[in-house]
Amino acid sequence: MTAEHLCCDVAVVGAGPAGLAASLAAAEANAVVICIDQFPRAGGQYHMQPNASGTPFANTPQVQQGQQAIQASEAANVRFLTGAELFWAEPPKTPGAPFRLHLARDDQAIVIEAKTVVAATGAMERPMPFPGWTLPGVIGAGAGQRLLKTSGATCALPFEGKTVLAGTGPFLLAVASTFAKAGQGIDHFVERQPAALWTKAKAMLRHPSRLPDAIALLRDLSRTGAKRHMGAIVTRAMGNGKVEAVEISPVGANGQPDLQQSFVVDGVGALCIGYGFQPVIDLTTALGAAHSYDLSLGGWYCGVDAMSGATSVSGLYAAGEVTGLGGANPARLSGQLAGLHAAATCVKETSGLNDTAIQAIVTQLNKHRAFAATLAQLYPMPESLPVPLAEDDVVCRCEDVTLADINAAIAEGARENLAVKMWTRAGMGLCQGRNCGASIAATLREAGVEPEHTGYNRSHFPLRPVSARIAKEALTCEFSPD
Amino acid sequence: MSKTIQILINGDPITCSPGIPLSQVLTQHYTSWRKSPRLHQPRGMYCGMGVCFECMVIVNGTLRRSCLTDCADGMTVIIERTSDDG
Repeated sequence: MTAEHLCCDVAVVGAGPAGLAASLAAAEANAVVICIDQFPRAGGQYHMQPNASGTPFANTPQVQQGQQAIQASEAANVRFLTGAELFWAEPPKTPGAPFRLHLARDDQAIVIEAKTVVAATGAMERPMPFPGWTLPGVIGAGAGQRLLKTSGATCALPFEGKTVLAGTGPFLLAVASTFAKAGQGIDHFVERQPAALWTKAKAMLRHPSRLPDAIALLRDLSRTGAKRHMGAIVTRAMGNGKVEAVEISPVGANGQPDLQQSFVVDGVGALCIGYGFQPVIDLTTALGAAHSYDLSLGGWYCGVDAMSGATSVSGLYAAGEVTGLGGANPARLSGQLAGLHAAATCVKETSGLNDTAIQAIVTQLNKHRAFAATLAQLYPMPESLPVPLAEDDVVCRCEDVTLADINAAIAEGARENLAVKMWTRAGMGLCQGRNCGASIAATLREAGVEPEHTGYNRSHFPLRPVSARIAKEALTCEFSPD
Repeated sequence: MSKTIQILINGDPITCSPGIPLSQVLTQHYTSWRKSPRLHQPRGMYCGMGVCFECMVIVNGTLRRSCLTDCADGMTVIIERTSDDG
């Protein structure tokens, strides 16, 4: 078999809020658009379109908005390639040449040649290790939410026993809200930040339009029946072959857990835990775009021009969470900006860019970004390891690399994520360092190296595991010159 | 109520709803279906959205992440181990 060969003006990578908005904007500006996504259906996590029937999540506002965006894009002739795994991307070989995206889909190799690319790759949960975190039954907070939304009429987590939702950030409240709507109880809710109601109320009053949402989230948390532990953190998961008990400790004034005052919850079946998000930068780093570090934006993010979404690589645009965490509203607006500009650079019959319209989008975008910044201030993500690890605790799940291994590398002189990877194999496994990148940086920070200097896990071929046959077919695909 | 379908996990027929992620069914029946490569620790699904590869299985002869795979009638699934393997 040979690779399928597709051409387009704008290839949008990711079909979440940013990618959908970019696809529609570019298609309405007369560009030929292909939008790819690794999930079976477009929508991303925010607009996820449930597949199983009988779910109470079939008609939520987020699902409906997503459905409208998908339908509008389809009506504008956007071609969706879902269930497509992007495993490699090449920038133009010469000025004016196309980008090449290499994909695996249904066991078939696909190569897309695109005049411009919009990276709307979104964000992933920012995993943080703690003793016992590899036990089955310990899952991401987002994983818990997704399980409930996708489980159809079942609408319950597939674990027996008590449920603990833990970590930090406003997303935990969104997850709790999903639990409430699913009728799935929560036994313990553990938030690292102290309640600090007055501080939060003051901050929220600066964004009065968001108050009803915030109040609804708190009401949903109450509906789950969760016992709340504010200013506390899960310091250990315990169990034989799976999680059975969870240790919770108060966080002291120094930000460290006070293990002397810890207590244990028994009979636990699921620990859903989340310490915020990080931008997914595999594509933008593979294509050589400039990235910067800002913890309040999720760590490493792809830098873009504020008016256009253009990255430092000509023809490559970025939108949404990959340009720094902000949520669905900034994602949608920045997607529109990137889609319009990407189309304008490669379509002759475009109606041209309307400066007033662009300015209006940017003004809205800045307003929504300001709200995201307020939330990031209220719920700072841990930059150091939030819980002390023992030497034999695993940091890199894929390759079973322990803290002792990483400390040995640091003692030998490793000062960057890449050096730790070369020394220990941490980040060389199937997930390509997505899961351990932040925690290796956190470990290096304890050795005195700030995250700005540790770097990120550099992209290399393949971005995601792919069969040798498909990789060969895609990479050896010859194109007839047009 | 919605109809049910049957999938085969290591040859055993399992009944489930169509369209739900395979990771949901596997978790319900096994909790863990993989061991880590070096320390041989039991692992289960973790990220639930395609990032971590902890939920890998063989579906109809191909390696797949079970969290990205929707259950379909007659699907054959091979897992490395079950919880009772010890």
